[in-house]
Amino acid sequence: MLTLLCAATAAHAQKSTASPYSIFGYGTLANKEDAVSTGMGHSGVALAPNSWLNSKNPAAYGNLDSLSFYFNLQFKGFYGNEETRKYSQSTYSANIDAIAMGFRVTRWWGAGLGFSPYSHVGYRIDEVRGVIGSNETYTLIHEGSGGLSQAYINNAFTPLRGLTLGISTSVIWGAIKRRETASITYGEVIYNDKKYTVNNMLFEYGLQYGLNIGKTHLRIGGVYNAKTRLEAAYDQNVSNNVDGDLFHDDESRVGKFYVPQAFTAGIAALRGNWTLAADYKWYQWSDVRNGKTTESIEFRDCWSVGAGAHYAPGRVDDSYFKRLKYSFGGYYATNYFKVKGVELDNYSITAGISFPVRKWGDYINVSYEFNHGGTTSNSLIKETYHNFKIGLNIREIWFMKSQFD
Amino acid sequence: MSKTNRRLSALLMALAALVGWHGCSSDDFRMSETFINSGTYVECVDSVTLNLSTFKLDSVVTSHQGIVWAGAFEKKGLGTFNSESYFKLSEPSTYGWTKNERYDSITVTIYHTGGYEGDTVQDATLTIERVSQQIVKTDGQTYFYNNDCYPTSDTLGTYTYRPQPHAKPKRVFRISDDFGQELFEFIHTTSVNTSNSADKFKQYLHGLKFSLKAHSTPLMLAYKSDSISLRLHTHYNYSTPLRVTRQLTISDKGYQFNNTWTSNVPEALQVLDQEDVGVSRRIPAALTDSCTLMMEGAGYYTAISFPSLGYLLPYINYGHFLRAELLIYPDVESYSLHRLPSTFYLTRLNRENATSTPVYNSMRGQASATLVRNADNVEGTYYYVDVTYFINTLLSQEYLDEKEAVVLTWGTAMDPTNFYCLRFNGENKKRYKSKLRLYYYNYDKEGN
Repeated sequence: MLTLLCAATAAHAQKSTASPYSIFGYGTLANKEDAVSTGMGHSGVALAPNSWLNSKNPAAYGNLDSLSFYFNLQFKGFYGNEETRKYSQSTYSANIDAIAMGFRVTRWWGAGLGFSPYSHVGYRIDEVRGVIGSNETYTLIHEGSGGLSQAYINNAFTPLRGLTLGISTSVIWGAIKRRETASITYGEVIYNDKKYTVNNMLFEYGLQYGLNIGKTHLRIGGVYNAKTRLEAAYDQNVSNNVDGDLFHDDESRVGKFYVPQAFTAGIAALRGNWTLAADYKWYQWSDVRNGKTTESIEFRDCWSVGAGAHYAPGRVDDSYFKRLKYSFGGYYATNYFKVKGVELDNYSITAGISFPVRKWGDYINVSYEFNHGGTTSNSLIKETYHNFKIGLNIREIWFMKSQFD
Repeated sequence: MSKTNRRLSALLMALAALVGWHGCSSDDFRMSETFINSGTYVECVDSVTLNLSTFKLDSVVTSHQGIVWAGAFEKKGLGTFNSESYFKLSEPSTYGWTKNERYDSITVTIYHTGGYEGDTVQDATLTIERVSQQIVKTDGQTYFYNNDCYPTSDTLGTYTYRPQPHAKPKRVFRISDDFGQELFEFIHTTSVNTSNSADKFKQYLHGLKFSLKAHSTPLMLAYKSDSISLRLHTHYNYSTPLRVTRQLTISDKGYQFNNTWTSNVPEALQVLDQEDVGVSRRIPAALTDSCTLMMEGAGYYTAISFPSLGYLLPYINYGHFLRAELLIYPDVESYSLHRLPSTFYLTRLNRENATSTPVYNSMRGQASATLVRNADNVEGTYYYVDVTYFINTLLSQEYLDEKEAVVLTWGTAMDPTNFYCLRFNGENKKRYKSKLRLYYYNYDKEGN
């Protein structure tokens, strides 16, 4: 487990996005979810599955099977294309995405813990700028890496039949590294390195309620977190190509780093082999100002809506192919910042398939997402990504007592 | 856990560790669109005031060894530049002598290098004098200074001619037969006992001095020192006369030097010749026709100081100068484009006009001035000097001495067939004034 956590942390330190927009704010925000949810259009906050871990809502852990220990190891990869009016380039990357585990502690208490990314930063942008007061130009290279991670403990309680309350206690931490390289013909080269180190606790509160209406099991769910201030420090080092260090500011405190207030509301319906789910998420980013990481952008409230279906035709004792599960969905999201006054958004269509590994509930969940966002107008960048997730969902029977030793 | 599960778990962990530690990704991509309003910027500052001034070193190491410069020429803004040349002769090529040998004549052979300053369409008289003291180098130095000179005892000869440095580079003329006879007697005497002949010759003839005077306007001519020779012509009274020539050449090029000085200098520059105080003075360009002077061999140099640089001291707390370049415009009336030296070097100069360390460029090498010719607009020709490190170093100090300056020094690969004298446009010239141009990178500190 420790090995996996270390590996996951190391993975996050590597490049997990290539979006030029990750230069802004905290970078590209990540969804804390299983590959099945991704396949369903990033929906599922109202779902409480007992065959996989639903990290979108801590309350979902209240419905875990009491005999099982759940473990999920998830990988993510992407192949993308970024283009402006003049240029186009392809990128790809693959890394560990998330780790989660969960189990039922008592009849009314489910718990789990996990690790997932909160945001990704990874970009390199070359610019040619004009020198103020001159006809000359100079070159600026912007490079960034890192991002924020989230380690969480989920607890879910069932005070009433059908109602589950959950709380997710997270530690958000990470470092965002930014380097700006300025060079002018016949002159020195300056490296302006900044590293923002962020950490604090984040509490998310979840709720789920389910009831049967005829043959349909209807569920609603929600997750809320309050605006939370993050402890942030930054380290700046300016150096040049000849002398080395010119200026160093070590671990200065930076105020005004926040996780915004957010809530997600979802609805789901389960009938027969089908599961339908839809989520709406809202962030109050307009109330957040994040120091100098928000250069040239304006934070705004953003929202997303995702909906999808999951189809599980087979039973435990059916043939392998009958036990395959399918999911698909769609997703639309507005971005949490405006660049040059342009409101950016993105949409995606998703699909997934779950491959059974053993009879007893182990699955390899694979999802694919075609995501399109950005624009080439106003000298901005249009992005198209093919995202892949592979989740290894292991369900072990740990808590069954043998009648005979 | 079953065996299968354990294997699966081990496989997963190995895969996770592998991907986690190494991951995989494509190369960084590059975009060339401006869509980031970075808090940093690069600004060009070219309003830094320069003070250009002329100063004079009391003595400079003589240049142009290997070239005998004799005569004078006038230069705008300078007055008259004068040069005489000294050298030592080798002992005669042979001493052998019999009583039948008779003296004929003594001649001097000279070769023009082709170099000259002034008007050659006039007669000029070359005078050769005998030096009356041993020519020695000061304090064991390996070179002479421009103000080294030696007394002469008598004139050995004069030669008046119409110089044609290119058309008729070789000239041969007779000099005093009295000196010729005397030299002949010396050979006679020495032939009896040739031991220590070299020392005897040094005592006999210390050296010669060449000087030139043009008949109308100042003229300076250059002669090849390794081709100058005295030839003693004799003959034997046999039935068929046998002619003998003994040759004396410049024995050691290290003992040939030019003594140079200026005269008729403008009033503003005369203070530089005052004893004791002159060397520490600088004459602003404003007093010398908005130009400064740099005269090879005469000790005039151009100093450039930066009196308003101190105003930029606060800038260094928020940024760094990516590039600092000095643009020095030569006065178009002081040169012809093809004769501009291709490079200069820059050295730091303290308030007492003493040179110290070299000025360094952005690559930490000695800053050198590169000639940027503008063939379409000759006035726009200038020298470009990268002084980035020097400026950043100055600005990293807490206090700036306004008198701190840099001085242009001559390059080592100067053409010895020219005598360079340049004037540079000062800061108060209306057009093409010399200037300092800075490129300042402002780094955005958090919280600013």
